[in-house]
Amino acid sequence: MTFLYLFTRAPYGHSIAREALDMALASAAFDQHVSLVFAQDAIYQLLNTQDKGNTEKRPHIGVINALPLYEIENIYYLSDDCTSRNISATNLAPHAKALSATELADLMRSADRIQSF
Amino acid sequence: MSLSFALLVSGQPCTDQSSLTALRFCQAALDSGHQIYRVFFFNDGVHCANRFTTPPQDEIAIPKQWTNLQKTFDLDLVVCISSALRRGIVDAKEAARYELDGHNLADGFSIGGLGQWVDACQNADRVIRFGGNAQ
Repeated sequence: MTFLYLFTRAPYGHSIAREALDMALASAAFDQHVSLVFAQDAIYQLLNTQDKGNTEKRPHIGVINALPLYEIENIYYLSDDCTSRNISATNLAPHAKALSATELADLMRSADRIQSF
Repeated sequence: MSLSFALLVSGQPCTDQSSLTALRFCQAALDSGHQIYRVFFFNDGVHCANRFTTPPQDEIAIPKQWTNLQKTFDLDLVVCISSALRRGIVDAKEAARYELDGHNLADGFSIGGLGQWVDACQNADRVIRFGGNAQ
């Protein structure tokens, strides 16, 4: 089954960003086909320039970097969110790919289960 | 047509309307002849399983309502273990494992892993989440 997770939250500030990412990892661990879209403020979850020492939380980027180990290869962000937040793609996790709004719509149409957090 | 539903409850029951709405949805679906494959309590939704919840007498105790509904319909109510332990929701087994001086999981709930939610997503006809993205 194809599971699409649509994240919209920044990495820190609310526990749901981390716990929902754990849910996505569990779906992959149970042999489901998993795609992750980091939309809106969730694009900050992909920043590889995060200052890991200052959050008083486990660094989020650690899990992001481990995604390929869980065989999660479909990791996306939206080009529009890059532009509106003035984020350069070179500062994002290298395994994440850009999507246009149309491509996101196609991805959503092809998923069996969509969950947004 | 009869459908089976998997419900994800992620809202804090004292703060957020969503867990009461989930309870009412469950009741209405079952009354209409549908099945509830599983209810999975995740993130702040795990507080629904705290039997120490003690609201004033004229307010609804949500854990008690879930316990009653579970008894009537033999529901599968599963609390996410990683969400639960972080928030101090434990059964007798976890209390013993972590040497805690009490346990508070309400009757009718069990503690389980995210795999049970993945299983519910695969097997239910419909997946519904109760508890929005509180900003």
